[in-house]
Amino acid sequence: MLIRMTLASGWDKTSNNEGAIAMNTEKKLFAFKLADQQAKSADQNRMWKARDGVAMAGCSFPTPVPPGYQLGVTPFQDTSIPC
Amino acid sequence: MLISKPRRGRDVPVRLPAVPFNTDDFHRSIIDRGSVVTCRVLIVTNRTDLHADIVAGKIVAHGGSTFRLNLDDFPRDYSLALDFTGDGWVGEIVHVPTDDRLQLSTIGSVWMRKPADYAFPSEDLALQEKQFACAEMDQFLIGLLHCLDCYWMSHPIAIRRANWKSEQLLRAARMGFRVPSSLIANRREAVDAFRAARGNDIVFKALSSPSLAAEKVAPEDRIAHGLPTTHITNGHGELLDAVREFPCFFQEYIPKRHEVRVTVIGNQVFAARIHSQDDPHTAVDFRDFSAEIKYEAERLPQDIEARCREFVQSYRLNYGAIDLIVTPDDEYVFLENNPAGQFLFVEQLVPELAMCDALARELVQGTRG
Repeated sequence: MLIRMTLASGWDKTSNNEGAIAMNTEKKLFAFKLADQQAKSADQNRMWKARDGVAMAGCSFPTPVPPGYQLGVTPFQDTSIPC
Repeated sequence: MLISKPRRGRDVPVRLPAVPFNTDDFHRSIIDRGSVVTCRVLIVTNRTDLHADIVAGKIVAHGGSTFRLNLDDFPRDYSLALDFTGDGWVGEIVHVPTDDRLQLSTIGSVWMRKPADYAFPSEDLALQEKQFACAEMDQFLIGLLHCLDCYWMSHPIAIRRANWKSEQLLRAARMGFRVPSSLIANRREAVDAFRAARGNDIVFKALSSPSLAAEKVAPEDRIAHGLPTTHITNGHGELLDAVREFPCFFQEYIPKRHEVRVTVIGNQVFAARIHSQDDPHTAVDFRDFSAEIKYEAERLPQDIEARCREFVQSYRLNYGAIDLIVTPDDEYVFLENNPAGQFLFVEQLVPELAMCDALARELVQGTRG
């Protein structure tokens, strides 16, 4: 059973785990095909990376905060796609 | 002047009572049980909103008081009982873990920050139960918000109205901005013709969100994390057949000298120059933060600054984050406006653009009418 997961980090993993659940990851949409192509390029390893000391939270999912998060006390950088 | 202020002060209040409402005797500080109660700033967001953390602190520093409604804790961590009295809803919302109590009548400003999925005491609701619960929550919460007569940053109706990129282009063009020639098509041949007519120099961008809806599916179901604005090259030829799935958005690529992020807060305009052309990774989409390009305060031409303010306020928004391109010929080109866009990253890179403080002041001022 083929599982293929592609992340923006460039992590691209193919597995033949028989026990895993199949997921239809063949991209149909133009945007996803583009994203897939970018994810395979070396440069994609950089994309959506945070810049030290810069909060990026925006159009994507919220960043989980550290346990017991306190503003100004707990190191925290929200990272996602700004808009 | 890096930060412009209106000549006549706060003379353009943008308030949107959702229902006809007699405000003649409405006061931002009300008499309740014989004592003066200070109106509060309601922040509607999620619990991981660093913007809200920081601005809330500044609101308090400016003498205001906040009540934070984290939608991803709501209604699980809140208790409420609201009565309709014939001329409005009365009652209180209590944040149970802290016992912070918000009387509806004391809401003077609302900051609509970020959405989140609701949280219910039972985490294992059946799918249909959860769909119904969410629909009921939308009816309750959005309906309640629409009953408030207060200062908004910004009103949900205004945000919704301002959210459509294709309409933004038309409005911006009518207001005198140059906008890129654009195409929305699900016909491959139309995309090819559009590209050929522009010297093969076009970009694709998502109209809804560059996240490609990653936030809307469980982590294990994510097949892509996002897509920046992307230059379409000959190498994308085969992929373009996929536009048949639904109409896709393309624009001519505008040569840039630099980009400008313009943040409008009330009547104030904050502009940051983004040296996106200093690094190839940010040349097409400046949001690749791994490239440490320079940001600095920008002095906008007076007419551009006024136009940005007018654009945002034309929707009756009190906030907007506009992306502009400045061409090598010094022309300002409108890309888009984000009615609830981010600003903290700009301030962290250009600290003199004190937007957190300005926003806090605006919200506190709003509670005072």
